[in-house]
Amino acid sequence: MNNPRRGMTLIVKTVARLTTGLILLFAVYSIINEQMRPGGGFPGGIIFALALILLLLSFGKAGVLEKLPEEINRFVEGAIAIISSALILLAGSYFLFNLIYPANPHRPFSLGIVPFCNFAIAINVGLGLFTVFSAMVLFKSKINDLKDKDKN
Amino acid sequence: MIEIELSFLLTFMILGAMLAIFLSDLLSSVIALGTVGLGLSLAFLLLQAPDIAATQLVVEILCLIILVRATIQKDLPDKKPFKDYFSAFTAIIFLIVFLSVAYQVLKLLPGFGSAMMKVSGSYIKEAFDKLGSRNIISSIILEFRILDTLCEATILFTAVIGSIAVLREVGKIRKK
Repeated sequence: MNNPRRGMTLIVKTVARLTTGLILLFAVYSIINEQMRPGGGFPGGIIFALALILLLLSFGKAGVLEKLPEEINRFVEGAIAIISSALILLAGSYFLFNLIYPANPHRPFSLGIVPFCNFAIAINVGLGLFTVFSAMVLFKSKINDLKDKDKN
Repeated sequence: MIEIELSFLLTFMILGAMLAIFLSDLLSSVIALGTVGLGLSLAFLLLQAPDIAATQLVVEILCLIILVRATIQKDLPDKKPFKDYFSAFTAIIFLIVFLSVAYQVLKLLPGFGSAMMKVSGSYIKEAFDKLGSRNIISSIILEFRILDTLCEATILFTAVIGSIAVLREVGKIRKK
């Protein structure tokens, strides 16, 4: 527990391992059901970021960020590019024009470009705030590493 | 009845904010700031806005984690005896002017619970027929006012980039 690279104790790790999937599931539920119940892209994205922060806090930097492969970053970048281009392509007559009027009020994904915009907002909010947190963690560790090198 | 509950909550929030300013320990100050956001979330829930209440609660938790992470090793308690009487005098004068102007302005606003419904009335009437969304808030922020939401997302993105640019100190060290 004293070493921040190793994470917290076994109890915290086990609880985090069990609950992170459920938290991510709740985030996806909140993003998908934005036109049927309270919630939406903004709180869904922040819940997503909170699940990632829970993993980062419980398993430590070495547990999460060094095992994160390069492909995930590329996938996220590609997803953002695809969604933004889809937003532009879906604009039939002018920018951000909604195509489907009216939608079925009892089904998700029936509201034109609204689910896509919601998903884009969720990615923006969640990954942006997680980026702030991980920047606060990572840059500090890099500074400490450089100081150790200078001492040696 | 709702006014009494709301004024109780607002008093709680103001006390939490004053505590957050006057505490000398930074960590206790962050946690006192958290009670302000929690009271705001309860106030939104009392005013029947569960959407904003959920958003406020979640943002509050995240901000608390980030602030605790930022302040946990930078505890700088400094307690100076209060000596500057001139600034206190000007602060009291400014407070009196501000309160009198705010009273004049608040008299012009419509009363609590009877808002002017010029634009929002048409939104409420047309949202279900035109869009078919059961949650009217998502149909407003993602359809009627989507350019607004786009600019909000841009502001958040800019804030993230700015915080990374401020937090990165590696380049400065390598220059040395």
